Parts: sequence; structure tokens; C-alpha cells
Amino acid sequence: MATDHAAASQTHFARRATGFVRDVKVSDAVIFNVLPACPGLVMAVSVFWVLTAFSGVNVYACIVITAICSFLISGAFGLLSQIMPRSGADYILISRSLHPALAVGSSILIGASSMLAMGYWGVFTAKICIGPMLTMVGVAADSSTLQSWGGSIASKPWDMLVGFGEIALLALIMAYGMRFMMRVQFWLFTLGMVGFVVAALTLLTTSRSSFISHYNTYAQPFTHKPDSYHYFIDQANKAGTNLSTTTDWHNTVVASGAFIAFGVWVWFSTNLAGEIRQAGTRKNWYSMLGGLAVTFGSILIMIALLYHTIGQQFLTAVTAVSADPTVYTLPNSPWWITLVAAIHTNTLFVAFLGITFVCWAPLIVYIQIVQPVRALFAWAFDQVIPEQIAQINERTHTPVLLLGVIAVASLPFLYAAAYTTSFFKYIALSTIVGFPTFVLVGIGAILFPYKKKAAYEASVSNVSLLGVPLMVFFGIGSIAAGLFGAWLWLEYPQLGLPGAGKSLADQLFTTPGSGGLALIAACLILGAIIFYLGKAWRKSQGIDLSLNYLEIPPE
Amino acid sequence: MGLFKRKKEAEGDDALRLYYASDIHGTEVLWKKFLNAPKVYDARVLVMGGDITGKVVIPIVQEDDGTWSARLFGGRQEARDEAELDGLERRVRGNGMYPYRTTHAEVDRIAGLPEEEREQWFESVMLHTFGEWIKLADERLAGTGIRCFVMPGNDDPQALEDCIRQGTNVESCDEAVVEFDGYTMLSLGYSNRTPWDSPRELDEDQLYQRIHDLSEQVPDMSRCVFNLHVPPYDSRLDTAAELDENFKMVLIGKEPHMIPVGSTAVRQAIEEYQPLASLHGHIHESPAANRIGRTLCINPGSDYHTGRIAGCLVTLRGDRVVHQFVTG
Repeated sequence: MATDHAAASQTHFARRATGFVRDVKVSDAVIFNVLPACPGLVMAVSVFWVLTAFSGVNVYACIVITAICSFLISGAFGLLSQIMPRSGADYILISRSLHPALAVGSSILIGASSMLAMGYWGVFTAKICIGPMLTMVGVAADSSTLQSWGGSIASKPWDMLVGFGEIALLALIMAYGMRFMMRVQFWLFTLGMVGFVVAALTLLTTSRSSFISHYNTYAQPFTHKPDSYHYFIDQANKAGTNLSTTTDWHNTVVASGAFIAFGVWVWFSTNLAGEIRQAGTRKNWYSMLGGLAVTFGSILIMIALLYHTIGQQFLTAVTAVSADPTVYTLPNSPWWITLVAAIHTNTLFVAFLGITFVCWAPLIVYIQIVQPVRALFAWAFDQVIPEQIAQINERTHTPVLLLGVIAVASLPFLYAAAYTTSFFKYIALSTIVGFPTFVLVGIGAILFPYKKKAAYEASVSNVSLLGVPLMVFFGIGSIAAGLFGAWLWLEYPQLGLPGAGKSLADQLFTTPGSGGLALIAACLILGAIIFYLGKAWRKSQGIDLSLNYLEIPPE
Repeated sequence: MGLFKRKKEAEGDDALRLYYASDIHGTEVLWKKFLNAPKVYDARVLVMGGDITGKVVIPIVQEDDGTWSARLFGGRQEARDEAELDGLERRVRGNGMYPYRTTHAEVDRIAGLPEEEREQWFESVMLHTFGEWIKLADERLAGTGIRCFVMPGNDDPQALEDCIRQGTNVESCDEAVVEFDGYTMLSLGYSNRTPWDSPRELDEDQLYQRIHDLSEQVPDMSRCVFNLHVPPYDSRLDTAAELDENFKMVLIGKEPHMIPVGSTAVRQAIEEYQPLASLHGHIHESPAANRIGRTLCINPGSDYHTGRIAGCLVTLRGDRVVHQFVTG
């Protein structure tokens, strides 16, 4: 067969051989890295959370702090992953740079985070996506049935059942084939972003006075007030809510924890690194930076537009009074999307906004399913656990059994999220377990260039700054970001972590569900147990697991 | 405790550990690691399963002022003295490419050669480097008692076989059945047809016939290892992205369309002869181990561009086999 690959240039000469193919575009990995912090959902949860919980918060500063942490963590993950482009994320990176027992523990920590997130995002699907969407459309169409459905589906047990149905459906799609899942992912993401952009343009083209007028018209049937906009501000003032726009820097730093909860996962494509050929190139890290730019760029733009059109004072006030049913009598919580829907009450427009907003929900749940599947795969590939656990279906080439197990395993997490009296506890526990991994990967990034010199030198991560490997700087940065995040969550109970603010000993010696440190310790101990049991079992078969993690010296 | 009941047996003296790797594609650091693998993994037999040579020559051009320059990783690299030049060449070799000291005039001449002549020139550069590798292997393996089998793959030129035969501590095994420690190994480095028209490809019926002919020399399939560069068709060891006529990945839903690209002849041979184990390479992105009948089929994949060698430890004990993927 004729080929153009031998075409010469002055830079290199290539010959006919297998392997010269153009790989998946960086944009695919960028989308994947945006998914853990879907802008639409993070806007709905984080912004409205911090506006009321932390008076004087500067949301822009929170996002910048989170973006810096995310940048530092992504650097450590990205540079290490470029050297070891294998599926399994932190397990692969830590096992090869530090110790496999710590790596299994880290995998369990991130797995716990994913399962907890699967629970609360599953419940959120009904609670903040489908329910409000039905209510929004019901209000626009003047349909009490739709409004009633919206209220019902957002309450127990429907929220849990919807979440489970969503997880089961996603598992089915993933079991059908990764290719089909990727198509679903692409279209859901595209629809979600189109809705996001349309919402942004709506805000951009609406003046403050126009919004107030529209909102008052929209709210009047429920509040029976001619000027609901200022009524809510007055009521918030009377309730003692701080509506000042002067920044309280202490509260701003603490509130950044709420954004860190969702915004420091732009390295998630390392879970698929072995399946993306370009993961061995600088495009691996660049895809994370792309994800970071899309995530934080879109959130920053949307916040600026919300402040511009709706006003920071009103956003804070309405969020604060929404907890008081005697004052806030509207059928929908004041999420950003429901506020935008108040501008144009055309039913089709509202339905479009609602449906595109709902598209984010399965995406963020899907990303949580990917992590435990890939981690167990990596363990099985290293023979830490039986290979049968990650058995691939001959027909679909997907781990059908494993996907089924994870779907079923999500049930207790959905139940816990749906029936808890402290919803934020699960977000808090899901967040806190991520920080040790950032620290461990950071240590790994510092040590790797010296421990495994040949692999480092041969990689595209072999870049130095002032004579020191760039990885070392990002390793230090990842450790700092991990410790900073852990400190915020362990120190400040406002973020919702059980036991936060107590002494570290108190937080450690409690049950894992009642303290973040206890959960971290439990996961790490479980990781060590799994690894050493696996090692002993494999030794009995003549397999030495420790050989998996060695680098052969070339000289 | 049941979990540990086979420990004593597994550590017995009669177990033979073999280290298999392939598809290093001219990456010198990987060849050096391959030769050092017995020290780290305590292996008595080494098998290099093909696609050993690289795909790219990087001209390092001498400038008028005596310095040297090359384009590498999308940027211009310069070397002002011999030490820097050595460093530059090391970086080129470390990434599976061949450095070639030359002049602008020669670069222009090579660029203007017809394809056939350019392939010959490329081959001469490759063979020179590979000759140095064989010398290194002879040095490192001397007196160790380690058997080292090397076989060209579909991407390697036929002349590579001559280089392998010149080694004193390296053994050629392509299109042959060799013996070690009471086991036999049947080897074939050819692949089925690929879109690239690489140097050593056969039609499926020809591939089957060669394996069939070799299999007649195998006395006991239960103590035989197949060393076939191309993996069996639809075995999970052979999943690769589908390519269009321009060598671009076929994307469906922004995802590469993955299809089985292995050999039906190899699959048929494994199904019919049922050797103890079957070692494969060729498809870098499809590392896996899978059984076809009683035969354990293994492809460790390849990450050659990362400077880490993907390999597999295969422990043979009688008619039993255990595998362990290792990336060193």
C-alpha cells in the first residue's frame, strides 16, 4: 500500500511502520476534565451555599484560590501521568513513585469520594435538576400538575429512586460500550453548554431594572407583593443577613473550601490515561489545563453576569430568605437557573433552559462511576486483586459485572444522601477524602525524578526550572493545596464536615462516618490490608507483586 | 490457611521464569532495561518479541559555526560542543529515534531520494545502531547463563536477522522452534496485513501455514510456548483504533472506534494446537492476558515512548503457567 509517511522533511525522516496515527483530539480529554465540576451544577450548589453561609464572601477570590489549587494539583498529576500513561490515576502514580500500599489506600479514598458523590449527585438529579425544571416549566405554562410533579420528584423517596434509575441507566450505557457512552457524553455536554451560553446571553442582554421588573411579575402570584425583589432584600436585612458587598477576607478564604470541593478534580482524565495515546505527551497536562480554563472561565463569567444583572445583594438576600417558608413562598429554590428563567417566561424558552440544565446531572454522575471501575481495573491488572473482578464481557468489551456491582453499591450512598438530616455532611466527607491523595501524588512528583531517573529523563515531563525539575515545584504545590484544603475542612465546621474544629485526635478517634480524619485513616488502613493480603496470596502462586513497581536500571 | 497452601510448591526449584517484552521500537534505554531485566526479576530466559527497530531518524545538522542543531519535540535543539552533542543524541535515542550526524546538503539529498532508496538508507542507519545493541547484549549477558532470544517483528527489516545471528550471547528464534529447560518455543515475527504495508507481513493463509509447519517440530504442546508477534484475532489482546485510508482514527461520538485487528490464523493455530502459553506484541494499546481454551495468551503492550519497558514475567512449572505484567 502506498504511504505518505516516508515523505521527508528537514526535521526528521520516517519510514513505513505501524503506529503513525493521529490520536484523539485534546478537546475530548478537556471535556472529560470539565465533567467533575460541571459548571451548571457547581454554580447551583457552591455559589448559593457560600453566599449565605459566609457573609462578606468574595466569590471571585474563592474561585481564584480554587483555580490556583487546581492548577498546582493538575501539574503534579499531569506531569507524572505523562511519564506513566496508564489507566488507574492516583493508584498508578503513587504505586510507582511511593508505595503500592499507599496507592491502594489512595484509590480507596478517591473511590469513597466517588461513591459518596454518586450518592449526593444522584439525589441532586431530582432535587436540583429535574424537580426545579418541572416546576419552572409548570410556572411558565401555568400548569399546576407540572409544578406538583416538580415538588414530588424532588422529595423522598423519589429523589433517591430517580438517582438510582439514572445510575442504573448510565451503567447500562457504559456496559453497552464505551463508544456509545462517549457519544452520550458528547451530546449531553454540548446541550448543557448551549443552555449555559444561552443563559449567559440572556443575562448579558438584560439590565438590572429589566430583571427586577420581570422578577417582580414572576414572583407576584406567589409572594403577593408588588416588589418581591426589594421585599426579599428587606426581609434578609431584618433577619440579620449581612448584605454588604465589602469583602471579609477570612470568610472568603474559608468559603473557598466550598469551591475546592468540586473544583480540584480536573486531573480526572488520568483515570483513562492508558486509553488515550496522547496521554504520553504534553497534551495530557494541557487537557487538564483546558478543563481548568473551561470550568473556572465559565463559572467566573456566569457569576459576573449574575452580579451585573441580578445583583450580589439580591442573590445573597434571596438565598438567605429561601430557607424561611413564611417569607420565601415561591415554588422553586432560587438557583441561578430558576432566576434566569424568571426573565423570559416563554414556556419553550424555560423548557429549553430546564432541559439543558438537566443534561449536566448524568454527566457528573457518570464521571463518578468511571473512577472506581478504572481503579479496580488497575488493581486487577497489577494482580493485587483477582483478575476476574475486572472481567471484560466478550461481546461488548466492557466490564459488565463490575458496572452492575457499582450500580448496586450506589444504593446505600443514595439512601444516605436522601434520608440524611445533614446533606452537606456527605459533600464534606466526599471532599475531605481527596486531600491525602493530592499530598501523596505531590510527594510522588517530588521524588520521581530522583527515584526513577531513566523514566523521568526519557519523558516529556523532563523540564527544569532553575535547575530543578518542574515536577518538584508542582509536587510541592500539590502538597500545599492538599494541606490547605484539608486544613479548611478540618478546621471550619461551617463547611459541614462532622467533627470539624475539634482537635485532630478527636477527629481521628471517632467513627469514619462522624469524622473526616477517621474516614481517611480507615481507607488507608483498608488499602494496606488489601495490598498485603493480595501480596501474600500472589506469593503463594509464585508471583511477587513488589516486582510490578520497580524500575529496571538501564546501566 | 488455604490462601497460602501452595506457597512451598510455587517457590520450588523447578519453576522457570521467562521475561518477555516487545515493540521497543528503537528506544535504546528500553533495550538496556531489557538486558538488565534478569537481575531485577530473577529471570533465566529473555524473549524479545519483535518490532525492535525505530521509525524515525533525526538529522543532527552541523552548522557553519561548528555547532549542531536538530528539531526535536517540536522545538529546535542545539549542541555547542561534543558533550552537548552526546546529550542530544542520548535524548534522541531515548525516545525511540535514531540520531544521524549530517550536513544540510546531505539532508537535502536524502529528502530527494526515491522512496525505495530512502528506505534503504534508513535501514542502514537502523542496522548500524542495532549492531551496537547486539554488542552490548553480548557484553552484559556474558557468563550469566541467561538465554536471550530475539526475533524481528513486522516493522523490522529482514536484514535484522543477520545482525541477531552475529551475537554470541543472543539467539535468533524467528521461524524456528527452540528449546530451553525442557520447554520448546515456536516463534514467528511476521504479522497479518496492516494498513502500513510494513516489511514483514503475510496473508492469513500464509501465516497459518508457517505456524502449522513449525508446529510439527514441537514434541509436546503442553510444554510449548508460542512466540508470535501478532496476537490472535478478537482476543482482547488485539483491540486497536480503526483507521481510515489517511491513517486517521475513525471516531464515533468523539471516541476512537476500537476493533479487533489480530490474526485469524494465529487464533486458529492456538485453538488447534493449544500450547501452554502464547506471547504476543504488535498492538501497543491492548495489554491483556486471556485464555483461549487452555492456552494463556499474553500481550504486555508497549509504552516505548515513556522510557518504561512493558513486559511480562511468565513462570513455567510443568504444564502450568503463571503470568505477571511488569513495567520497569
